[in-house]
Amino acid sequence: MDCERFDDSVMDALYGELDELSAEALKRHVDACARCSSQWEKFKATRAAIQLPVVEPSDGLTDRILEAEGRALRRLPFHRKVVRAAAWAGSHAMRPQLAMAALFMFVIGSSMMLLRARPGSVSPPVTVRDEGRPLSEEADERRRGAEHDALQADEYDAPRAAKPQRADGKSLEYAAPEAKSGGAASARALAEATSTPLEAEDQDAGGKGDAQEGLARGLSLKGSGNCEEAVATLKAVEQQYPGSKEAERAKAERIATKCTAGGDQGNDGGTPNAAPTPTPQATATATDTTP
Amino acid sequence: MALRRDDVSDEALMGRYQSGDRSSFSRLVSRHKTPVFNFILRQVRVPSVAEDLTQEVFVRVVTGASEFRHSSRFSTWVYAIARNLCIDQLRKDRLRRHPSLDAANGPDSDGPTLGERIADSHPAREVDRAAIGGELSQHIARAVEELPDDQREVFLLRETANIPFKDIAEMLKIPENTVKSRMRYALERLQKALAEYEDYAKALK
Repeated sequence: MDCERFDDSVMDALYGELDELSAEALKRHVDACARCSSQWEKFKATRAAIQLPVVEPSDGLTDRILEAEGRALRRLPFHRKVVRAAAWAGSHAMRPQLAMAALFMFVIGSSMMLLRARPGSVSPPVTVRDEGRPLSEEADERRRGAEHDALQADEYDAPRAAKPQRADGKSLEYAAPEAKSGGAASARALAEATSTPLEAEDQDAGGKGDAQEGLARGLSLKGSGNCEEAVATLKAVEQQYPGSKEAERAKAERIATKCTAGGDQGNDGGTPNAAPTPTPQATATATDTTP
Repeated sequence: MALRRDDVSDEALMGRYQSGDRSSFSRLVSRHKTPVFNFILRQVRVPSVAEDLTQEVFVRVVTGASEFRHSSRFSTWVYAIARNLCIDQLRKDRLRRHPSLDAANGPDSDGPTLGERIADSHPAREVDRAAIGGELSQHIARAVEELPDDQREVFLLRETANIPFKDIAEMLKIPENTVKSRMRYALERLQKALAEYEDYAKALK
C-alpha cells in the first residue's frame, strides 16, 4: 500500500469498514510511513475526542410519539387499515395462549352439551307389560322373576312356528314327542328331533323312490313282453342303485329273462358262449333284426 | 447503538409491526428515540424543535410502514426520513431569520439565531449538556453544529447514527468516494477546532 491508497482507505479503516487484508496492509504502511502515520494518529485522536455527549429528550416525548402513532393509524387509507386489522387479529390468533384458551372453551362447551344426566337424577325407567300399564318400582323385581319363567315356558312355540315344511306338504308334528315340557334344553332337543330325521328321510325317500320305480317298470315291461326294454331297464336299476334291494331284484329278474332270437341272454360274465348256435336260417339272416 | 446479541433486530420488529403488533413499534421507539433526537438536535440546535421533528419521524414510520422492505436496513430508512425533515427545517429557519440577532452566529451558520436559542423552552437541556461533558464537550458540540451542512450530515450519519458509507452514499445519492472525502474534511475541521480550544485552554491557565 502506498500513500495514495492510504488516503483512499483511511476513512474505511477508521470506521472498521475495511476488509482484513487491506486493513493489515494499511497498518503495515502506517508503521513504515511517517506522513501517513501522523495522519492516522490525528484522525484517531479526533474521533475519540469528539464523542458528542448524548442529550436526553424530555420525558413526555415517548407518550407524544405513541399518541401520534394512534392518530396516524386512524388516518390511514382504508385498504391499509383493513390489512392492519386482519393482521392484528391474525397475530392474536397465532398466539399460543389464545389458542389454548379457545381450545379450553371449546372443550368445556362441548362437554357440557354432551354430558349425560347423573344416574338417579332422572325418573326410573318405565316398564311396560302387554296391557301397557306402567308398573311401580317395588313390583318390578317380583314381576321380572315371574315373567322370566313364563317366557321360558313359551319358548317351545318358537320351533313349531318356524318348522320347515317338506315339499310334499308333510308336517312334522309327529316328530315332536317332548314338546309339552318347558325349558330351553327341551326346545333345543326338540329342534334336533325335528330336523335330523327329516333330513335323513328326504335323502332315503328320494333314492328309494327312483329305484323302486325303475324296478317296477322293468318288471312291467317284462310281463308285457317287451323283453329287451325290460332287460335294459332292469340293468339300469342295477347300475344306478348298486347295493340296493331293488338292484338285486332287478339283477335276478334280468338273468332269468331270456329274450327270443338275438337278444342278450342276460349273462353277465357268464360262459363266453356269446354267439348263438347258428342255424342255417340264422346265418343267412345274421344281420336281420328279430321281428 | 449496537444491538445486544439477544435483541430482536429492527427489521424483525418492523415485520411484526406490519403484521399488526403495536408493541413492536414501541420497542422501536424506545430503541431509536434518543439517537434520532440527537441527530436532529445537532442540526436544528433547538431541543423543542428537535423533539417535534423526532415525533414526526416516527409518524412517518407509521404511515410508511406498509412500504418498508425487510431487505433494507431500518436505521438507514429512519435517518433518511430524519435528514429530510432537517433539511426542510433548516430551509424554514433561513427564511425566518431575524437580521437583528443574526450577528450572534457566524456567517456560515444557518441554524437558529441566538435569540431563538435563548428563548428555547428547554433551557434545562443546555445545563444538562454542560453537566455531562463540561466545557470541552460544549465546545465540541458547537464545533459540530458549525460544520458546513454537507459535511455535518455525513459526519452525524456515520458517527452518531452509525450508518455505513455505502448506505450514506445511497441515501444522499452521491458517490461513496464523495461521502468519504466529506467525512475526512469534517474530521479535519473538528480536529482544528479541538486544537484551537486546547490552545485557548492552555492560554487561560
